[in-house]
Amino acid sequence: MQRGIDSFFKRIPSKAKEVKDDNGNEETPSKAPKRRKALIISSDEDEPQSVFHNPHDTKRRKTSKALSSEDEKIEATPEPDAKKKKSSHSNGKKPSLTKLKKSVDPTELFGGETKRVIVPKPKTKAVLEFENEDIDKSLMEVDMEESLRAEEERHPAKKESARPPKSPTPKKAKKSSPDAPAVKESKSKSSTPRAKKEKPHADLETSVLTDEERHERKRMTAVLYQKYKNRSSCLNPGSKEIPKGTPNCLSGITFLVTGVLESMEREEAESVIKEYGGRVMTVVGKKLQYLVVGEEAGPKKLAVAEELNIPILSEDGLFDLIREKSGLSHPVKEEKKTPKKEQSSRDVKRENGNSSLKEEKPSTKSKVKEEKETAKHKIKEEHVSPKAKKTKHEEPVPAVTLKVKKEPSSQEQKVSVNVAADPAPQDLLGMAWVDKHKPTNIKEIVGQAGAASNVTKLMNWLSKWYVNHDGKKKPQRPNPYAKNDDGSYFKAALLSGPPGIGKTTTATLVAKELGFDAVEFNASDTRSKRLLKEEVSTLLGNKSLAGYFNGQGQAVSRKHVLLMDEVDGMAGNEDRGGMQELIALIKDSSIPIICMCNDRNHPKIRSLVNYCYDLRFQRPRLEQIKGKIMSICFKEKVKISPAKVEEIIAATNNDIRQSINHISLLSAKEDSVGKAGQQVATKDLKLGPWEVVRKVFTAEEHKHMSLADKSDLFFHDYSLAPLFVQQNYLQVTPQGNKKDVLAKVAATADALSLGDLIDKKIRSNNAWSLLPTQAFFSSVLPGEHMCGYFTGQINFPGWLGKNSRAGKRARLAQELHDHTRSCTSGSRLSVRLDYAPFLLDNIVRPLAKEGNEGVSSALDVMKDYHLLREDLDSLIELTTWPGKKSLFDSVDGRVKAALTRLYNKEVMAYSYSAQAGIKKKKAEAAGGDEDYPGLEEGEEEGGGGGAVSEDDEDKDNLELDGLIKAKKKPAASTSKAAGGSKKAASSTAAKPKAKAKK
Amino acid sequence: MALWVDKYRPRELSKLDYHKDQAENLRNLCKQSDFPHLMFYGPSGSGKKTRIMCLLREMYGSGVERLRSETMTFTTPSNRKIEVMTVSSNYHLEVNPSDAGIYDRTVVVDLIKQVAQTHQIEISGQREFKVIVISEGDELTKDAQHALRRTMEKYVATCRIIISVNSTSRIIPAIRSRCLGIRVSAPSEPEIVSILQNTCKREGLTLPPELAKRLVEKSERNLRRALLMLEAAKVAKVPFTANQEIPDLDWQAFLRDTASQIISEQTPAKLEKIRERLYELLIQGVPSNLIFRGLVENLVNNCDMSIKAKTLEFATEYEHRMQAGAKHIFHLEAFVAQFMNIYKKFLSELVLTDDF
Repeated sequence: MQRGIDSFFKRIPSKAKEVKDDNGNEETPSKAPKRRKALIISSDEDEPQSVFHNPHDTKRRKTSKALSSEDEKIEATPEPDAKKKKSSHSNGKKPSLTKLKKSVDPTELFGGETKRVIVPKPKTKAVLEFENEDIDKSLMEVDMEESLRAEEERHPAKKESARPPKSPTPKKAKKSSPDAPAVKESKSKSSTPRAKKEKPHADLETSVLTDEERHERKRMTAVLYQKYKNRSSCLNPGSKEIPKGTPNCLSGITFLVTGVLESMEREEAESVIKEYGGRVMTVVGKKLQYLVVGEEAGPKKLAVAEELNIPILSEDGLFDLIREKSGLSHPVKEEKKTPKKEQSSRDVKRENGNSSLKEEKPSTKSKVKEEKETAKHKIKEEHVSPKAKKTKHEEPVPAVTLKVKKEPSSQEQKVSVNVAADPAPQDLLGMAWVDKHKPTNIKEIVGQAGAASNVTKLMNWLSKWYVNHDGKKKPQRPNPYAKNDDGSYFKAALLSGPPGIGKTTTATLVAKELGFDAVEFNASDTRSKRLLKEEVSTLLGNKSLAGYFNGQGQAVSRKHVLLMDEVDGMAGNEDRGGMQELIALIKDSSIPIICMCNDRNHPKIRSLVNYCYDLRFQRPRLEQIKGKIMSICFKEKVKISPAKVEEIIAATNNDIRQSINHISLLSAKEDSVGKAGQQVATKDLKLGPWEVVRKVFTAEEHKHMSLADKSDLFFHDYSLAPLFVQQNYLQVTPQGNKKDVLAKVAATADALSLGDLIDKKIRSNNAWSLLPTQAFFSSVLPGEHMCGYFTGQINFPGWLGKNSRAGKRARLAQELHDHTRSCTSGSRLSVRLDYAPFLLDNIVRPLAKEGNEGVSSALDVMKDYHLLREDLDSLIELTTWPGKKSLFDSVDGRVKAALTRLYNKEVMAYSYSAQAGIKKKKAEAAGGDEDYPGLEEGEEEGGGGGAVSEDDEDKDNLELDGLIKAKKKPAASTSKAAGGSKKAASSTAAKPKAKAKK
Repeated sequence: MALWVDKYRPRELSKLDYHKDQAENLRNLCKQSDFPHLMFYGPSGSGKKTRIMCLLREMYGSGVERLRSETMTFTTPSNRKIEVMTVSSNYHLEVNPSDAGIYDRTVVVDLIKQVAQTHQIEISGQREFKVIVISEGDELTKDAQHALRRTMEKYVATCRIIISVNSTSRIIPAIRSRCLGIRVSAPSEPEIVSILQNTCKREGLTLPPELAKRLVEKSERNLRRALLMLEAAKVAKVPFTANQEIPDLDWQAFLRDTASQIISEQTPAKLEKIRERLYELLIQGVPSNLIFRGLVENLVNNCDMSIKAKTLEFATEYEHRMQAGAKHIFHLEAFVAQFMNIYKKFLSELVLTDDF
């Protein structure tokens, strides 16, 4: 991440420096040389680590140095390229230096090797190779000589430093000689050996493929795939100690892990890399800097890596790199190198009159910034030129490197500051980061880039607003379900979404972009009905706009837009009636209005939604925010690992504003960014219940968890946690003797049962102080008893579903009990457990046995027990048991239909069936009316008297409305047939009531 | 064609088949003008409800059998609408407040009080009070019972309350003391046998005494169940034979099967399967204490003497916890887990001793 940004920022200065550059290295370096030098950085980057007081500065200097010297090669090359440029440049300028760095390049040696890279083998080979190439011999010789010399100088320092096992130094030393030619190569033009090498390769692949070969190749891939499937996990897990590097020691370096490593799983290796700030890629590409290779590595990856000249590391190599980067091997070197530089920077600071001590331990961010900036300027003014000169004189002394670096960095920084601070540089110092890094144009808004994004929609809507609302045409109200509405109908837009994702920013920027004058009202303004009316309407109904609407549009210079921010904050006495007024305002507004709110489903907002073009903002994805945050980190010179940024973003639930605030907070205590800060961030993470239950039972997790941590797991969701634990504890295989498993299970179940007791107490007595106790019984104890690993899948607690099913059945049973109550004697329970099966049997048996003949006897039973047709279904549901076949299933479908028909025809409505009828009617809404067309006709024909009696009937039985309707069906048909004899209808309608009473 | 249980239900006190002394007492009670609140208690299927209806008929005549059911709607203090079904005649109202779940207090306060406050309009009726029958009184929450006790006292002039409960243990003493308790014990075996025989006679069937005896045993002296089973047996095989098979109730069979599965295998995986079966029982509305009882009975029958005591100990402990707790499955499962544990241990020890 950081690298990418680096390279991005470098462009500006490099352009600026173009003229300055005079190193004579004008040739465009071909791709191959660039790649070849990718590794140089590794040695280079030791320095930022070693420089104690301000790592950012040094890093900057380093990178920008490259730029300043580099010519107009501003291809969109990411970091590695930039680094290469640097090296190639320095080659020309002061070859010795480059050599020195290059000497540590292990890549060259392993161009095509697939195996672990422990001992650099092909030294001679490489030399030979280069001999064949037409290179500028003289240059080469110089380079080699110098590189050797540099090597010697460097070496003692390295050896002195306490190296962890398998020190990479010797390796590097050996490699150094082939490296020199590599540098050469980079100098040479397109006709480099690299290019040559590649050509035959390509030929082989494309042209000469016969069918056989193709077949062979297919077979090979199949074999490889089989191998891949069968390949083991790591060979000797934990056999090697993972070195403890300093945090972020790999920052900015990209890795790809392939194959089976010796001591780590691949995921483990990746997490190690991430932990130290490195990036893990999935595809071998230009940006990749190291390929970490294990057994059975993917040959394709290796081939590509070879082609791109990406250094290949073994697992040990990775560890060495970590050690190296984290400065374990450098304390001596550091001392040697840095004093001069430190001295100089300190001098600079003193000159500036700032207390230099404070500089070193940054207490408050702004102060530091201030100091830095002033320092930068000074550096530039006073030291740049002399130092630049110096570098040319002094040859291979390490200190020189540092000085050289310093120079461009100061320039670069100045430039970047100027860019950022463009409008008002002074203001920035005291500004919060959120404001400071506010997007300044719509392209910078995070996650709003697409064509279908809200920004685009809003732009579109706003730009067309005056065209759409010029009073000439009246746009149709769009279908609420229309997908791609452009909102032309609406006079206002409503931006809704969670806080901190850029709604207000979007609105203001869009207005700015389109040249609108934004008038903003937010929750801090009183927005009562009266005020809105007076202030806003005068503001909006501005005379100057009137001219615009009269057709001389362009004459008016400025257009207005009203931003109503935080409309859901319109509340209380202050803003009384504000919403109504706002709606009224929208209705006859002559300017566009943009409203913003968080919760668009809020009852207050709901009325507003109808008048607004609805634009919903979603939270940007983590990756989108991460980019932004990383660039801010870079601008603010905060060093933070990408993994940690991800953590912070996740912890803030993808809230950009809050993430920035967090970063800003972390930067304030810069020292602790790596340690204490990290812990804070991880603690804030909210775990899902699945993750929680996994942690509760996994022995691996228990290792570094205190008792408090374990009980904290429960509190991630204390209502779900016990259920999850209960559902899943049987999936766990506990550690220890197999014989004891059941004892452990029993102990766990016992603890859970006690936990349930406490749960009941908590909820019935509001004794929430018992919650920690419940945590122990419901989560910690089970975790202790069953500590092991999951063998099964973690399931969602079944209790919830079962409980609701139990509730549903209980409801059915109650209904059944209610209906049969007047003729049975049992309680609800006995009806359900004793009656139900026999009752159902009595109804279904005749149907099953006699078919259509049995219908009437079945119906008799139903009548006797006052059952509804629906009750039959609930009876069936209540008597089904798993594995038992219901008798009703064997009944022919036609018989069932006959029963239903006969039931509808014969059975009178009960008082409770009325209710069911009403409910049904509501559901069917319009459908119900169509059912009784005849009835309405009949009523109309029936004449005055009949209608009156009908009305009376209705009044009498208002609550039995459904009952009457249900009964009217047959009546309707009769009335129709009889040509509308109203009395028939009303008399039949009255009947059911009487019957029901009976 | 109603089921036999309902078809041959006695409608008058004089026609009751058992507890005849008690019936006589009740008749005498009706003859007096005064009439206390009553509480009928006894196990399910012993005829409480039948007796109550007979009593009402004795008091008000056959008018009491003209029942209508109505749905009453109440609004709870928390603005929730609840519906309760009532069955009423002109003289009495039968309600089951526990239908409203935790809102039964509202039912007591609104409905019962309102009915109790109104006077009987029809002076010509034999009594000047109405009767409110509260069924499943032991399901009433404490709140509802407290609401009831004052009502019982205050409106004693206009209404009498008859509570039907399974056990008085869950009725607060205040209510118990306000009621005349009438215990309706389950009919004895010979009583049930004779009733079954009578029923068969009326249906024109002959019932072998052995079969009758087995029916009684199977029904656990629950008369309702016995009659239902008799009818089911008739359906299965019409001329009764002595060794005719009497099918179990589904849930009983399921429970027994569950118990035997516990005996057959003791592993966490099995426990998980058992959990599913227990869930199934709970979903079907089998009360958890019945599940406990069924499990324990079946388990104890199938295990060695040495672990019987331990099993019972666990059962009592977890059932107690279950009553105090919220989620019954937790405690049922814990019991099963404990049993599996001790049973497995017992088995492994058995193997060890056998080896020697």
